[in-house]
Amino acid sequence: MIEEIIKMYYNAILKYCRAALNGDYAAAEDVTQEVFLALHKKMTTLTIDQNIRLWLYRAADFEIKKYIKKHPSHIPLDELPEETLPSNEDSYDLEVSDCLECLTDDERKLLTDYYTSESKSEVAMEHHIGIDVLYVRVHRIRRRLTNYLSNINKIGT
Amino acid sequence: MKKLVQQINSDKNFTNEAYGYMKQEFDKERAKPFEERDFDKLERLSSEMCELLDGNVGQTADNGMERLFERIAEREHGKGKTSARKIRKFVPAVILAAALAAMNCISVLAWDMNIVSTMIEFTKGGFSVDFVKKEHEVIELPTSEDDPYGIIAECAKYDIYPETPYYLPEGFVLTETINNINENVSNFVGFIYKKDNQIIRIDYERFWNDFGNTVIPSDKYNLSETTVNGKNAVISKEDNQYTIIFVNDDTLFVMFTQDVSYDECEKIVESIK
Repeated sequence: MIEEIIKMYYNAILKYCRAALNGDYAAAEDVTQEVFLALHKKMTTLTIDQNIRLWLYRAADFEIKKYIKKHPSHIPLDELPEETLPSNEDSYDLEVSDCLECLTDDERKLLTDYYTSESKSEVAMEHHIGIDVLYVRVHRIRRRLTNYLSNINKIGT
Repeated sequence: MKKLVQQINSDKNFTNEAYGYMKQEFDKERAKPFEERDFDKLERLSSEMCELLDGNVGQTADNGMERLFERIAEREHGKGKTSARKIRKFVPAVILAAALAAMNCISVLAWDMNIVSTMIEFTKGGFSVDFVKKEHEVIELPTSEDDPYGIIAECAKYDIYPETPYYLPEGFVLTETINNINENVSNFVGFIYKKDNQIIRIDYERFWNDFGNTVIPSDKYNLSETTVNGKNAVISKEDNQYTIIFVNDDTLFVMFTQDVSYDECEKIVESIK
């Protein structure tokens, strides 16, 4: 039974721990392992109908606090690396229009609205999504553009 | 179109801004009392944050899961016969119950002790005691090096993160755990240890807003003051009963003992960390 629980919840708990530990993957993995080891220890006394998900999050909070207490010099997240679109000056205009053609109409509209509007919350509302979802979608579009242009530049060299 | 690409390129702070916003929302949700958290939202936000960190849709955790299964398998193979939960019958001390019920209590505020922020009022009664004879079984909580009596793990279930004693006198067994969640007021966990007629009871109560009233049973007003890990504490000693109370952030700690030597009680208190 514990195998099923691990397969169902491991990723979610890992990401939760990572978000709480400033993106530190190694620390999050250690903490996540301790959570499930604690569950394994407790399996004989937990009743089957108990809400495992809530139990795991409680245990995760406990293990996160324990980790931070043991590692008081836990370093906060450094600045995230930003992606910039590579460009080849000679054929820049062609590359740009090609690259934007690879986006759907909705993606192009979202990107345009994001960069022309002064209010993120208004853009999010207009597209019927939350601000966090807006950021993720723009991030994905930027990433695709980066990859597309990087591939073009590789072919050109 | 070119202008759009230029705008994208000149947005040097996009990832940090996006991550910062999500982290703020994540921390805000996580700061709520456990029962009020939207775990779907927390899962969504943490997944999005990881995507920003990794640049693709989530980092696989297959290696971590494999390692976890190996560790569990090692545990299973290395495990000897675990002793079955011991069942023993205990009869509560009815005399103790009667004594507690009859005891008067004092007002610490009247004594003008500026040591804790908890209000303590004059009232009758004290700790609730079950007058009905019932059989008790010994409870064994999972323990660890950092949690020798399983108190920390048990309290964590109720969103309480306490300091724990690292010493309890030999021969005491945990016979009862009590818990109570009073929504928007407090979460409470209590542990009762017994050895013959001796009792050690340790209570933790985490208050979400103002502290409630706490009672110290006392007939002779024999109060003293000490510190526990830098926190001011009140001690009452009389009639073979020892009570200590202190506050750590938003959590109230109360330990009550019956027929346990005061020296042993001091040792328990000194071991709290």
